Amino acid sequence: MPVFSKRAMAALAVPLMALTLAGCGSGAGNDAAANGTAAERPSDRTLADQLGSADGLDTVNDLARNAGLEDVLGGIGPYTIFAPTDAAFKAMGDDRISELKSDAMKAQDASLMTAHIVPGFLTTQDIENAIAANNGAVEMTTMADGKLTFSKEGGALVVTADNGAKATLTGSQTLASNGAIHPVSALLLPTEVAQAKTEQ
Amino acid sequence: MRNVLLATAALAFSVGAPAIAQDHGKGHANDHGNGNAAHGPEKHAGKSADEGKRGGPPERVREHGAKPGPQDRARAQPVRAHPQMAEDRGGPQPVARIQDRLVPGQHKQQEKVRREDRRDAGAVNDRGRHFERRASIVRDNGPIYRIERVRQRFVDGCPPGLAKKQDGCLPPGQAKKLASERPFYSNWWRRLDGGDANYRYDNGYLYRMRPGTNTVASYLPLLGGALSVGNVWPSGFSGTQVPAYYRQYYGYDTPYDYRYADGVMYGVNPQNNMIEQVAALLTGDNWNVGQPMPSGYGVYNVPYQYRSQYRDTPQSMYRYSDGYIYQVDPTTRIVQAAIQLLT
Repeated sequence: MPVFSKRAMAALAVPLMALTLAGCGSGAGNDAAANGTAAERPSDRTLADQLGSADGLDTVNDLARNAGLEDVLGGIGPYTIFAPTDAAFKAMGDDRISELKSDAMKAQDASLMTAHIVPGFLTTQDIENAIAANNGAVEMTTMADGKLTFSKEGGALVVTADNGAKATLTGSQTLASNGAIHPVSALLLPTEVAQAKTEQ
Repeated sequence: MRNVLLATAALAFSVGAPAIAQDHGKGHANDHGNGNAAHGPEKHAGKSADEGKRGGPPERVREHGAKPGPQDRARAQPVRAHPQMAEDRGGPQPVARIQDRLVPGQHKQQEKVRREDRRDAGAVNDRGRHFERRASIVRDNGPIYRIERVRQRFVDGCPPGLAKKQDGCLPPGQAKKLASERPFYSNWWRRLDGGDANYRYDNGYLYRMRPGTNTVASYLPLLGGALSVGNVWPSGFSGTQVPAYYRQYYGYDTPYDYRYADGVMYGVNPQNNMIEQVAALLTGDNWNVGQPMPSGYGVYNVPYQYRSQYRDTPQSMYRYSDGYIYQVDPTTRIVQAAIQLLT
């Protein structure tokens, strides 16, 4: 898509700037930031690009595009997406997935996506550090004006939406030029969604 | 649910007044202004019983050294706040002046970084125009306008195309049909106004239904629905004019009319009122210098390119929201400064 590729060009500047700035700070400060930047650098590709090529995230990529979020995810951001995997969507049933990809479901897709996006650039290490520093649970606001609570259960990072939906961070994070993507095991929407096949 | 930034704007600015802007780099504290950025009319939303209020970051109206265009000049003039807006603001905000935090010897390094940023950041946007995305923080003593954001939720009355009939916007038969429309998806739009109202989606709008009667009480055009690229901006629904800072931060120099509505920044063609772009998602969270930071920012989320400069320390923590980085006291959680991410 032309808009994507050109916006992606704009985002190329970000990793270049990051490389320039790296190492300028003092040693003191937030371990999350230090660890996050030192351990893994962002790609020069945007969230839109990364979502389009990530393994196991085909459905969420389709829905993001159907919702008309190309410029948002290909732009400056930054945003962090907690992206339900294809397996997570599969629990809704193939019919529901097909329905969500239709033109009639663009608004639903936008609502779904914004409930899974938080402002800023969050690495896994940032989340881990925040949980440790906040007695085991920490909140982030979503672009749908909800809250996601992060905690650890066993060794797993768990995210719980304020509507009760719960998922595990699964797989590897992807650091893009304008944000991050964390695959999650379930949709962070009202629990009725999980019962899609039994409703209607 | 998403809140609409109804907000308001119109700000009366006064040097040395409230709010922030940090001088990064050399320690020249900016003058701070206060007020609301001018915005479009919000008649419907402003009267909605569902609305609430949210505050927002300051806007720097004029770039230091930049030749202001007509719109910039207009914004640079103090604007007298609408009485209702002044009431919403609750009076002047506290002043925060941040002094230089750099140690001797860092200035030269900072300047070098800025030059390199400018050299490397050139890019072409989606309209084929050249623009620069800069990672450095500008220092200037220009006025900082403060934006007051107000939550807008449902708009009372009937949406475009639906005439008011009987107790609602639809004949009883159609209302009943709407009440049963896709209930599975209806609670995907999170609403905070509580109560026992039911919500139904239909044809680009979310409808708030009166309990028991199945009539439409109010409506909200939705991102991806009525507010989609290619649609004409709904009549009777006013978006909030986007302050120049946001257009600059998000790198849009197109001649669109940029508007906020329900947490989203849209580019609208002023010639035909057509929505041309879904430009950015915004939290609309209430960040005010001198006041507690909003909830929901427990994780360090500063953009990657600013992390070496703004990392949490025992003295200060930093959080990103809607184009600004905020400096916060880790103990009191009081916002100490808003940091603009422009040159």
